[in-house]
Amino acid sequence: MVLSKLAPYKDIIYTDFQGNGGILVDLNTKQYYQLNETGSLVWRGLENGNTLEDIVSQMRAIYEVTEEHAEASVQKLVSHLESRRLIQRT
Amino acid sequence: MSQANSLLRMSNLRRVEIAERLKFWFPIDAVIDDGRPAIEWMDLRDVNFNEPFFDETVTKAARERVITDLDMLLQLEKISDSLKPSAFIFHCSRCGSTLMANAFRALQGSIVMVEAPVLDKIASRFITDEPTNSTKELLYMLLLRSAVAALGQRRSGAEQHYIVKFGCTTTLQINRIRCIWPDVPFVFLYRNPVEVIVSNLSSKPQWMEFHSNPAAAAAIVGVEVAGLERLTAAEFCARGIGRFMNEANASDDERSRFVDYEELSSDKLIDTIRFCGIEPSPEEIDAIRGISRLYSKDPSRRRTFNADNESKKAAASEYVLEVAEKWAAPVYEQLKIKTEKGFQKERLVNGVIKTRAL
Repeated sequence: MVLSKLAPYKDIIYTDFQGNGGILVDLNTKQYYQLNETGSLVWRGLENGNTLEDIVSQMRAIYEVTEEHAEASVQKLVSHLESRRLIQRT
Repeated sequence: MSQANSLLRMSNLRRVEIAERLKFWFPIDAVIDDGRPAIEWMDLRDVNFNEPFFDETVTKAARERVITDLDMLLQLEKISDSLKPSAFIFHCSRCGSTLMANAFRALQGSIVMVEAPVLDKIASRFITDEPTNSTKELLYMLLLRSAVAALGQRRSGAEQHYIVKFGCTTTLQINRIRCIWPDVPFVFLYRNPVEVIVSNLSSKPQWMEFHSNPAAAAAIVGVEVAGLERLTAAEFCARGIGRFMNEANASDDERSRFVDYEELSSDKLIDTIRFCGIEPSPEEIDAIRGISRLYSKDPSRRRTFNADNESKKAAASEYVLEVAEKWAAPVYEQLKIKTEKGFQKERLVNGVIKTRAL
């Protein structure tokens, strides 16, 4: 995995409500997206300035998954987020 | 197109710049503009919301209105300084909730928003769009949070308490609202259903005009739209208030307080304010006692309050008694028992505290 940091664009709003997952709203495009529990974990990690490696470790600490599985899941979501211009490399 | 000015929507300003200009403006309504959901705003930075209802303040202010897209609520929430709600007031209609709001209004540095249309309209989307467990549900929750934040903007810097009273139909969304603000206490006011029905029949509120929005009306009383035609106004009302009471009852926990209209006194008002974590000063207590003697819905605050329980009951027809009994009386009785138990628990707790202090 590439050791780089990704961060949300400033016009993105993320919120999660108790037990309801999270929602991302892009104020530029006015598109909104729902994140599931693990997606929310990844997003919060990005908001906190964590590297992808950190996020993979956090995921493995919570869920019983192999490193490969966690890494692939995080990478897949990050690609989606990047392609929708919700996050950027810093 | 609404009569309001759509200048901001059409202008080339960046959203952040529009949001900056909207600081201290208040969302006064959720409307459809050019076929799209939108928010209507008014600059009310110097206005005290002293009238019993939000709409009355807006009408009195009579200022320029501007319209923006819905998402401006989210943008404003990002940059504005707002109070977190101190308490929510829910109610079953015509049950003393306006008096409760007025009592909160007597507190120095309080913002009290009473039945702001923007909140109840966003909440009603949960009913009409049935978005349970969907992205849309989260979006409406987010919009509701932003609208509450916009109405709770700090203006003078002296604001300390922020109370939101919703319209009675929003009681059906109490679970979602508590999901957004799990730590905020709520008060639910209720009253003998016969009296509530008689009051609503003699002066019909908007939520009972079920032909104006059949989908919402049907959802409020839990019937199919086609079934609405078979309901009399009295049955519609009885079913509605029964559902409001049931929904509130199901949300009862340590952060909820149920207040029966019959026991609504100045002491009860003060006690309820304390339950919400606010200790009124002696001057504020005097003001609350004064307010409790007045008719709560009189903006001039001159008319004195006269209890009308008996006259309401006497005015009820056999049919009203029947529908009240069928659709709302059982849960009303449950709430009364709950309230009485709550009192006994409080007395016990107070006793224990006193013993320890001695």
